[in-house]
Amino acid sequence: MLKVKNLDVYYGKLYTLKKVSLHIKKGEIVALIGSNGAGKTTLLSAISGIVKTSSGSIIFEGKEISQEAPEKIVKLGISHVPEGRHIFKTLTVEENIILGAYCRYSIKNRKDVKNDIQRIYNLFPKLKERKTQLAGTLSGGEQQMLAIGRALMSKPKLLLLDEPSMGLAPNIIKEVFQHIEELKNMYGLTVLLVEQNARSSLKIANRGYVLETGRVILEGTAKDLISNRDVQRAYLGRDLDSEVRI
Amino acid sequence: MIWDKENECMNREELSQVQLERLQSTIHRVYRNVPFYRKVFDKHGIDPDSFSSLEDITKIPFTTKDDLRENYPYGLFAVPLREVVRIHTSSGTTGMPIVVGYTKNDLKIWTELVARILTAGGITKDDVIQIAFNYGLFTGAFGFHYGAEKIGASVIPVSIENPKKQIKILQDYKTTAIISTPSYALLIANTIIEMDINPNSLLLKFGLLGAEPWSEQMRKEIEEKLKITATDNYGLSEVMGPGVAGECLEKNGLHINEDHFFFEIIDPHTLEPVKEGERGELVITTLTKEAFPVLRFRTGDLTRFLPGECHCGRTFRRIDRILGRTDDMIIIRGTKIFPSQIEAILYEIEKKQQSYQILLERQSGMDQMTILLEMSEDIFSDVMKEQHQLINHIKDRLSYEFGFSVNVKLAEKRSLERVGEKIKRIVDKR
Repeated sequence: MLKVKNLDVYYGKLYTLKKVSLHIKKGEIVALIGSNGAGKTTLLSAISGIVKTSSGSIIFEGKEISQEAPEKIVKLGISHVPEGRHIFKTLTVEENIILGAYCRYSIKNRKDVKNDIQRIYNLFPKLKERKTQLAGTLSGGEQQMLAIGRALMSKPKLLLLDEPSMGLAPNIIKEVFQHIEELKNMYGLTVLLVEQNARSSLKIANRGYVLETGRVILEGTAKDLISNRDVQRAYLGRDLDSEVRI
Repeated sequence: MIWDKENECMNREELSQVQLERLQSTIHRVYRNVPFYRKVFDKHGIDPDSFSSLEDITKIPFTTKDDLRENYPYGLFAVPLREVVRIHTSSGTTGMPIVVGYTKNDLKIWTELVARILTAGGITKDDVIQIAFNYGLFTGAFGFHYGAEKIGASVIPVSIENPKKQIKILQDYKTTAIISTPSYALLIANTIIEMDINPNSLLLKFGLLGAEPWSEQMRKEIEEKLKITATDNYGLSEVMGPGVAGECLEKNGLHINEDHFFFEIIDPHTLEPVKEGERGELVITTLTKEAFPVLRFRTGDLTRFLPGECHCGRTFRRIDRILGRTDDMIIIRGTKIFPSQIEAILYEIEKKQQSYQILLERQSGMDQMTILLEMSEDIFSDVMKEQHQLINHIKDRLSYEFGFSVNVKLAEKRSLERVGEKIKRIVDKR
């Protein structure tokens, strides 16, 4: 579905990604793991068109998108849930969700959009309870679900998720990850997941890539990566049991 | 049956993406973790970030068996020893053994790849598999053992035993598949005939044979004598062990596990890639090995890529059966000759394995090849004329094959120079 080949991204003279190649097949959850500054967020931003690439190709469903504008990429079916959620705190929950459909919203489509909002509410019942509340009053976990719900409104084929567990309590993290898995299983969504919480993300992922200083140094099935000692030491932490179990 | 349809039947474009991703990450890991490769890269000014296509692999110098030997025992490991969970070595018949380590993941992948090869050779969970390889430092037995268990077959780890004992197990334990070298399978077949056992009374159906070069005639003979389907498979401990490539039931070449290994075929003299489909030396790069990755390892084995797709549905490319070793390749009057070609002709005429030696001489500037045949009961005939005819027949056949005149002479029994039990195959006096 997505094929990234030899992607280079520079910030000024400093490179953040160096010849990164990866692919995602339809219906897969692929985890990107790596320490701070390894280039994970840059890679997501490059795919969604927010960051300009200097060379290499990004092919989405057979189409080269590395030079496309972000809004065009959303229309093609890639939705990006940014790190820190970035919801509109002074708008209501429902208004936030509608905004996710901006690229296809029109009088003619009103009914469709309404149905889609219902779908999001079915997926996240908590959001329905709070649909008239201001988004800023939601808890962290609810805000994350709102951010995901908003992203789903553009009917993406591929969801890019950046640090969905950041700043959340362990039991909430568990809930968020369950939702991600549900999205894959029930809606056949394809997900590229960036996570500091490597263990949890590898548990729901099919495959993973390990980034180090802008390069892919390891790739494999999620199971293989979990049992790789380097990955364990560097990204999973020594105290494996203290992490959230899913 | 295909064990891992998703990967074994992946489309070629997807495969090249997977190969590129894995090559890039392997190069980064190897450059970071193995001083030998880092030195090679730095010496030749190769930037590990500069690999943007599979063709770029040609920038890397070849790794030879000597390189591996010089780093004996653990010099080329890419992980600390505490992460290694298994050690094997190469046979060491040609000098110091090469020590190979495996991490947990390496073993997992190895098991998977052998399961692929076994399935391709007809094995299912209902089979009873007799492994007649030596259990020990050699990779063959353990590789097949774990792969067969993974499939769910019943494994009998007989190891090397005298053929009569093997046959008793074959009969009593209701073995359905045998895993051994082709010559060992032939020995068992001949022993069965000697013991006057009806091969139809055995339940044996499949033979997965490998670890040495063999010919199509030999396959036919084994299949007929044992009433089985015999497939060829290829592996080497420097790279992993069995599971690198193997034949499917179409029996038209060995499918390479291309998602884990990258194969090149080069001219062993010019070191340039050969033309598509030409014979040459096999060079292998591992794409997923953690403990003992190798970049462009010169195997010394001679083969060629086979053209076209296979009917079995696997998309992985195929190589021809191993045609011999580069050490054995002879160039005479500009023609490349492999002992396996001579063997095949002798076999065709004599219908049995022959003891022979190739003698190369230069007579007044002209290269001359002489085949010395050791006398045996079969070749020895009281009637001089018959013997003469046989020699002439072999001579004509060989000369016709190679396009120049070949001498054939008889030698006395056990007169040919031997290394251990084996006859020294080539004596080059040029």
